Amino acid sequence: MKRTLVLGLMMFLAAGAAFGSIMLKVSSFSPADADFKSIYGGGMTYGGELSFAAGKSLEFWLGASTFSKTGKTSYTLEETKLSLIPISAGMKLKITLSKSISPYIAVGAEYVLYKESNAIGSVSASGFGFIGKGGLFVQVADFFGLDAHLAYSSCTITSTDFKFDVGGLEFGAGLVFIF
Amino acid sequence: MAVLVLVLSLASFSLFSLGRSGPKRSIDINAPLSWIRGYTLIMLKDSDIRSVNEARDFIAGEGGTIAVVSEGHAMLGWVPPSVADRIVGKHGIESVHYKPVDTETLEYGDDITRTFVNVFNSATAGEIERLSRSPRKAGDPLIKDALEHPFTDPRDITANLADKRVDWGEDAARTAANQGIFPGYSDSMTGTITYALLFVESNGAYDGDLYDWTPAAVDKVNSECITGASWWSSKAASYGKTATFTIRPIVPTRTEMRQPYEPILHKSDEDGLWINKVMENMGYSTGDQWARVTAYNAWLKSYTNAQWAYTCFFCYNPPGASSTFTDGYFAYAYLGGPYIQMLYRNDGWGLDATRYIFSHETGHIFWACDEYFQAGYGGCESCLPCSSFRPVTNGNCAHPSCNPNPVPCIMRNNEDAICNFTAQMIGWDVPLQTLIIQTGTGGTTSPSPGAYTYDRGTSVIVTAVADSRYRLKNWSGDASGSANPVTVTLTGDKTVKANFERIIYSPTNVVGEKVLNRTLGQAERINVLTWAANANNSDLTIVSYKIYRVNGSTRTEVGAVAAGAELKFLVRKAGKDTQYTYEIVAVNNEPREGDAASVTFR
Repeated sequence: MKRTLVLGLMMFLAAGAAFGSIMLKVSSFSPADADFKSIYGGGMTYGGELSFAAGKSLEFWLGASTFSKTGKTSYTLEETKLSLIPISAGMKLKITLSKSISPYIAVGAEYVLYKESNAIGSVSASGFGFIGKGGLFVQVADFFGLDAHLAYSSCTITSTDFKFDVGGLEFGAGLVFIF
Repeated sequence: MAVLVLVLSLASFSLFSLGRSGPKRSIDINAPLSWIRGYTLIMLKDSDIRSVNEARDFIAGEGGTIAVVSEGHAMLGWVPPSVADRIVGKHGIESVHYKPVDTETLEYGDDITRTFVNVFNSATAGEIERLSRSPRKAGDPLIKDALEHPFTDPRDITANLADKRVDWGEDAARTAANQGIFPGYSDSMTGTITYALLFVESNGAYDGDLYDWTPAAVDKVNSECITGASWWSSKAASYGKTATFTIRPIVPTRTEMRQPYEPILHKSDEDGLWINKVMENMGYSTGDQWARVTAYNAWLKSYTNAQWAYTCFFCYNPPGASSTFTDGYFAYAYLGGPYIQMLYRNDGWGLDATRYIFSHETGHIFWACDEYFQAGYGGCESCLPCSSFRPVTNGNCAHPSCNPNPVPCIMRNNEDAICNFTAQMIGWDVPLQTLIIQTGTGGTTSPSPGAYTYDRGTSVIVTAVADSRYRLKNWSGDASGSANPVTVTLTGDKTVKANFERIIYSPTNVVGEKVLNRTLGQAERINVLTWAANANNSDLTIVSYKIYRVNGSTRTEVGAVAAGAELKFLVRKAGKDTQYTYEIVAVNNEPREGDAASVTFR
């Protein structure tokens, strides 16, 4: 079901696009969940984003990133490893202030794959959430630009023992290749 | 004889009271058969009493113990093999046997010799033990079977002995001085004792001759009385005494045993009818039966060169005849002698119990009191002595006013044992036994460690008193277990040792709690145990602590922590709502675990 939704969204975006871009990004992630913060804290995420123009100011985008972090269990302070893979898609509204500078806002849906392993055991789960972000695109050349963005996401995952939010605040930058 | 009337009345009451039955005893009379161990048969060349006594005394002088002899070619006792080597071939001693003997190859065919050999074979082959350990029939208790005879004129005894070449002058004086009691015949059960078994037979003159003794019945009685005498002899040895019996059976085929009455058709207090007649046949015709039998006993003493003598009259009552006299009595004796009256079948006791009844009655002959009591039925009624001859407290009397917890004794329930009171009544001073009390490191005892002497049979309570930080670990030697105090009964010399152990104290400040150990999406409960070392163990080398989980009656070790490490132990993946109980013990360098500290939490 989840896979069907994602594929449908991509086909829709591809069908309506006049042109697009690919962005490679790196972000600083600060989790919203207090336990997340306590056990793992924040960290860097790495990912990419594919955008297709659906009009002069509207784009559809599809992105994915990864977040991996090592933390300590709460009592025994043993090592525990976390891996998150958020996959997101949505619409972006661009405002062209000049030929090269375009601030934008975007909203979308997010699907997060979660995995955690440690002395207690290993667990995998996933969940749906939302993401909203705003940013500034600076086109440096015809096929190349820079992106700076601030995003907030929320995605609740239910594992064997807890229900928790793997979203948070993310501030990052990216290299954008236009085609 | 008033007592006979009382017994008869009791019996009649039981018989004619519908819906009621007289109280019966339940007696455990299966006691150890110590006398069988080492039982020895000695075969002799000559059977005359002089030769037999000479062999008997020689064996005793060499270190053997002779229990029973007769005018036959066999005697029984306990002769160690080392002694046997020295005595065979001397004083007419032909052989010494420890294993059953083939009676077919016996050189001597006389009845009494064969009976001795058969008793020996039964004992050494285990037959006596098997019979004794199997459930035994039991008849009515031998209540008030110790009688006192009336005053008897000593001149009658003297007259009976006039032509017997027995000088009774000194005994007559003593008898007169003791108001009719005949001292000198069974004063104490020590030394040499002769007992005559007189098998009374009817000649049909008055009552008709209904029952005639059979050779087998005579042999059975002889066997039982040899066994009973052996039993007494072994008990004497255990008290450091010597009691050697000479059995003199007078078989029913002898004309002297034939008299006009069929005894089983009479009351017991009519026993003078047949006893006087039998004694008259034997040449004792002056005075009452006590005078006549006493005179016969005097002759027995003289003839067998014994220190003491008594007589036992056996009357025949085969199956079909009553098992008691018409007044309910079946076995009785006169305190201090001169005689016992018994039947072939004694009430419901069974033929194999004859030895115990004979032994019981022999106890009375030597002044032992009854010790049996059953409420509503009778028996001894106080701790008071039952005679003035040797006024020993009857301290094992089962009457509630005396001793509610009497010990087994032949004079109580015909048991294979004697108590110190009985021993003293029959003239055996109770030997002193030594109790040695020892202790290991860590304490003392009360009484203090050392050697003590007590009367044989005394129960001594020994209490272990541990030093600070020590406690009693166990008793060793002739005591065991860890109960404190311990009671040691001195059936012989004994040694007990109190072993103490240094207490390894339990850990202190033991805390158990269940904590949550979590990650972002996972969690486990951990039982966290913490404790502290006990300061009382500071002088010990504690090397580790062991942790046990206690679940019901199951105690399972779950781990250990080195004494130098953090005194904390985690039990992971605990149940969220499960209650846990743990015990933590310190372990020293022996290694020995100490006392446990317990903690329970949910």
